[in-house]
Amino acid sequence: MPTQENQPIHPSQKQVGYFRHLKIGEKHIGGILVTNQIGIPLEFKYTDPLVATKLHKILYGSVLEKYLHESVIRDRLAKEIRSTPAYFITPYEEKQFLGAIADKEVLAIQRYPSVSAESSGFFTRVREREAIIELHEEAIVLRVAFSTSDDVLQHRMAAWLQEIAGTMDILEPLDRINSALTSLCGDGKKD
Amino acid sequence: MWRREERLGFWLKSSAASRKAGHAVQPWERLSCLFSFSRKKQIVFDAFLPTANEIHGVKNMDVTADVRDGLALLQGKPRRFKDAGASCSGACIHTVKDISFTLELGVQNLSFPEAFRPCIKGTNLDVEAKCRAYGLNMQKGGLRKIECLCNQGRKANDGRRFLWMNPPVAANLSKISRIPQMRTSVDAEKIKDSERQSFMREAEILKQIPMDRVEIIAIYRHVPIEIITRLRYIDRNRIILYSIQCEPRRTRTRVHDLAAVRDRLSGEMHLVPHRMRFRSIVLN
Repeated sequence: MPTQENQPIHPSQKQVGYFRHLKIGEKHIGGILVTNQIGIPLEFKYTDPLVATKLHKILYGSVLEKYLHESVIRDRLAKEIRSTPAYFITPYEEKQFLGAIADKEVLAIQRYPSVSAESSGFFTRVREREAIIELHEEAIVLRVAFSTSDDVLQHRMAAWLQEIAGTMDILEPLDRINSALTSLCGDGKKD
Repeated sequence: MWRREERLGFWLKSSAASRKAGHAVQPWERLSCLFSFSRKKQIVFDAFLPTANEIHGVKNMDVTADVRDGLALLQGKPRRFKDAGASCSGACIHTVKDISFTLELGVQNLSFPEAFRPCIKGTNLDVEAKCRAYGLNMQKGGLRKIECLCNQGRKANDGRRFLWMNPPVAANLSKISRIPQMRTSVDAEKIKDSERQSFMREAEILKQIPMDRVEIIAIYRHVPIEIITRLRYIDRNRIILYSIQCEPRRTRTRVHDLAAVRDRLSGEMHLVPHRMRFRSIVLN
């Protein structure tokens, strides 16, 4: 029996934010992409490539990476974003730098190979801020790290993720940001 | 003469404080002061005796003085001038001179035999003549001034240029809009049979391929087929790449499930959207 779903998502939940930080050689670059619920870009902001000099490495020491990810690039981009996505999605590798972007919580996601037999439901908690989410309709399993430890909020974010996954490939825009940032970092052009 | 002697006696008996504060400075007081605050100075004072007759026949006049330097070592140990290196010269005038001490001196008691009425004459020491001037030529000495660290810190350089504050942010929506979207397939082996059959029917209707010749290769979810401008299927990776151009006046669109099917007979690939498996999307 064919299915026809005519349940539009709540307007305030339609926009999806993506954040990606890339390190290409010695260059650091970050970008934020906001799409609608089918992946069409609505806003794209990125920083100029930053290179840590020898003096930077001495001055910032062991906090260089953290400072670059969080303060210099992420917080700077967050100030420039005009759209209001419900949440931001970032690659799972960014989970150690997770933090709210423009007062919006962030999910670090990656595709997970399979679900263990004992897991039940679409939300399986792994750690305080980490869970395995199974998107039943798409037969996709995601490993998700949350920027918040609030259990209620985590379930709300998981439900939003499943809703968004019903209209688009939620991982695909990250690849587009990757391509765009790599291109921008490589040729140094802004247009 | 008597008055001088009395004043000398009074001064010698008085305390050091009263000597400093209360009396007008007399020559012997200046002498005492010099004694007290100089080191290894030549001390000269003469004792003039009034007449030669009074001291006729006296070969050796005992002149005693208590010499103190304020320290316990010499306190209570009167020294005779002659013991201290004094010398007498002449018959009438005994001049005590060249008394040298290495310590600071203060003359407290100076007594003479009663037979003599000496006239004590204190002479100012020619201190300047005796003292040697040690010119400290600071400039020629090549002394160098050590700059204090706190003084060096007064001139603070601005190091903000070495820090990252606000990197420039650019917007480039057109660039990322030109990047095609890529869609990967769900696992076609895990889809339900009913869904598989429905896709085979769609292929038969839309592409005129008999159901028994249809082979489902990949299934893509939620593809906005209405606004796709370019679409490409890459068989090697079983992915589709497509570009979207959304008209500004369009407010709604549909995302359909899409299947990649192969005709077993011809081997030709076809992309078959499912006409009934879609979802309406409101566009802003």
